[in-house]
Amino acid sequence: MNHYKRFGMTLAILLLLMLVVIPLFFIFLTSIFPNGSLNLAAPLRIFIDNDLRETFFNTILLGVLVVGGTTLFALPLAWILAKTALRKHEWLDVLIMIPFMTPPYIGSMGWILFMQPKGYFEQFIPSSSKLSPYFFNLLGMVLIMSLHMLPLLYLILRNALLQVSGSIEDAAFIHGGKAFYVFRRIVLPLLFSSYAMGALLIFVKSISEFGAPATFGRRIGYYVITTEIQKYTSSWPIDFSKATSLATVLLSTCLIFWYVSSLISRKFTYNTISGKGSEGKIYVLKRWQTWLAWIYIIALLAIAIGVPYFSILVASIMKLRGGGLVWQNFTLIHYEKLLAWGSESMEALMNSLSLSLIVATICVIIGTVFALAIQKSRTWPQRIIDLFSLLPNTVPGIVMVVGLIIVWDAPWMPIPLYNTYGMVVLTYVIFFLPYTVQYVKANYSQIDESLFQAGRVLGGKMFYVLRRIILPLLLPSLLAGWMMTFTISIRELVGALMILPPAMQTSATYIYSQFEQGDLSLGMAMAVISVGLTIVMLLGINKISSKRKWSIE
Amino acid sequence: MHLYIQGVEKTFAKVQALKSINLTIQAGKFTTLLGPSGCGKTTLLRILAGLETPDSGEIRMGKEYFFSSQLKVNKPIHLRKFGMVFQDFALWPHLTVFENIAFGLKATGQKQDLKKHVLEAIAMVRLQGMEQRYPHQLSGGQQQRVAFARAVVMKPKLVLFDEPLSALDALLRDEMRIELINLVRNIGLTAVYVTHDQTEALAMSDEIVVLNKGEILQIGSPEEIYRTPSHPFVAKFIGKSNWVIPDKQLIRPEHLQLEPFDSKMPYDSYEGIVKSTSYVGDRYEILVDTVMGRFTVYFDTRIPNGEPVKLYVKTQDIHEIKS
Repeated sequence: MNHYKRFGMTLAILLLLMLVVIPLFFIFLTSIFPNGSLNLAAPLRIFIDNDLRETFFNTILLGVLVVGGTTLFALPLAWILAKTALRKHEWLDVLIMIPFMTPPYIGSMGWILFMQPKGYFEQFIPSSSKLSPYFFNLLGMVLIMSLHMLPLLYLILRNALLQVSGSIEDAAFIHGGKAFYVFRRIVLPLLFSSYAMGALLIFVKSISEFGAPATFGRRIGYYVITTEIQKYTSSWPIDFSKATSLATVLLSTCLIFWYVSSLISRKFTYNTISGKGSEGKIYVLKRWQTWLAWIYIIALLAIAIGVPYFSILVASIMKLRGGGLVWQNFTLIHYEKLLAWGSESMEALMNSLSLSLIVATICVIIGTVFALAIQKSRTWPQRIIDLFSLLPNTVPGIVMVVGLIIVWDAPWMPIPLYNTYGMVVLTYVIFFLPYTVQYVKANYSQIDESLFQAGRVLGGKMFYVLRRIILPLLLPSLLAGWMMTFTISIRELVGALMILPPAMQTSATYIYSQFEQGDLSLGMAMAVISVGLTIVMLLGINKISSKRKWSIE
Repeated sequence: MHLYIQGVEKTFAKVQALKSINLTIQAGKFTTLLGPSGCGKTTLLRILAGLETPDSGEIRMGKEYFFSSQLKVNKPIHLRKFGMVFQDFALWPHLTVFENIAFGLKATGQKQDLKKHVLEAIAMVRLQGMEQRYPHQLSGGQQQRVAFARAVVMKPKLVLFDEPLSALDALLRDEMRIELINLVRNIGLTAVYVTHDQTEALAMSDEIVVLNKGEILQIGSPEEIYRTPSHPFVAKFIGKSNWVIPDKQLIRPEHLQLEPFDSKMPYDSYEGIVKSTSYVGDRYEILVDTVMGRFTVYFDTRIPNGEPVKLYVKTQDIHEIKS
């Protein structure tokens, strides 16, 4: 029995080393051998090269501004929905999650269509054309990305606020604190660790983001590391040493910030939950304050969801782009063309669906095996598997792709996988493995070990217990993992752009290329279908996790 | 100055939590609100603090109104200048002992002699040398003392206690009870203390207010409450009672004995059969079935079950509830 286990563990670690760790190592290796000779300082030359330095600072500035923008939106929202009577409206949470489910490249396209000269906003309010130039700059991109990240920080802050026990705030009021003083001296410091972690998460996600800079950033001439890596690896003149230098710097920045985040969480986390009376304080709002709160929420949802969705939907059903927003100008012809059998677009959609199906299935199988190997990560091999299998989620997607290209396109690579369908599957599996691992691990840790022990004591063999007890109990997380992987595979852009074999398209690359130069309406119709699928799937996951016949407590 | 509570009512989602409460909290006295959970005692305390707003009524101290539905006054919590000790202590986890205690002084701008006042409060609760510790570095009893120091450092007109001992284990609870009452007496605080624990209430209070279902049933000294309950619920909730006439006449167990009295005093006697004996350390508690029902008697030896006994009580020790 133990032999099997040790063999399995070794195999898992080897697999992860080969698939995840070695590609990342090769990025570093390539970056320090710029011209075939060792130069340890090579990655640092991006601080000397003017263009690269600008790219680096652009990236950092974007990250910082997005953190600021997200905070500005999320903090009031979290406070309103945690500390006032409005918190009973749980359906708002589902709505608030939608911006995060929207792929940033599609969101950006919606915004561009809305705000550009002769865009939909101008068609509504002609005088708004003066606003357009103010939108097409860095702040516009920060707005788009902040709205996309908003749900993440909102959830983090709201949960932190809910955990502050009511009496802790009551005590501050009774002992003489005014509302703002209490907020500043008591509530904010208690939020600090959650906020810091949320902010770092958003920073890392912003600097790793490819979709929004690739669509909106290129348009305004704002280049960041991710878009530059893509440029250096996929368009002439290809320069792998520059690309890997940038990737090394991006990767290091991300890892440093993850490390800082874990330090902060260890140092500034307080136990604010107490046993009794911890229902959380609810502030009673005056009528005008309630109105203000509602206006804030509705306005936020209108710009975060309304604008991009309205734009892509309208673009997908307009006959003539210049025809204006009139009933006669609407048609479903684009959907007909898009879904016509044998068309380029239908092929792309089918490619996406089949890829997602295969990838989701493989991820669930491997991910479950890994999660079961990790268990509660007590021994060091378990911890290593845990760390390695979550690495692709920590590392920016584009960095992972560059690593994979270097390894699988290398002249010494005996397996001829590069530029095939198999390579796409492999890349996606590596990308999305962490989701299943995380879901199953979380699920597994909730199940009391005595349930398994009871199965063993009552005479079940290892595999019998696995089949009859463990897998059925893990089923919800397997399903959630499968659906999550399926959904994000459909919309994956950066991996597809860089790794698809020539002449193969997915729905994401189709949307991207049609938006750049092609039939906008077809692209947007594809975007509607892709986003629609996403939302249906995610609602499904929601339902699975909330509606179960039994619960494991 | 006394605190006057007049006609205070509160309804939560159609459930009447408090039904027209009239009560005077005597200045410098220790008043306990006692009752089972859900009786409204905590609601009343939170109303005094300003954490809940009553539907109607009046709360004032002299001419200073804290709440009045008639005058449309509702003084904000932070201007009432009370102190409060919470059930879960509610110490701020990110502030040190010193900062926790200094919070009120800083929040209200009393920066003068701040350090002196805080150190005095710390000395009072014997936590010298722990000023720079954080709450999680303290034991339960020490946290309790910080919470107390924090509540009294501002020299409040009234200190509210919300079951402050219930989070401590039994041994510590007895110790803190004595310490707490000594501190309150030494400072001469006016205190309102909420508890469901009759032992605490009897041991600490100058005055006990017994509440049930949102109503005050009896107000009186601990002795009055125990010896002369004015409502059957009070008799049942505090101490053990043997009912001679249900809800009308009762005898406390310690007044019953198994031998006749020598004195000429008039006494009653009841025949019964021993049902069970439990040994509780300093005595035996014996349950006796009589025609009136099951009586509890204290005795100094064990009596076999099923043995017939005769119980004697002085007539003057039979308490009659007049209603």
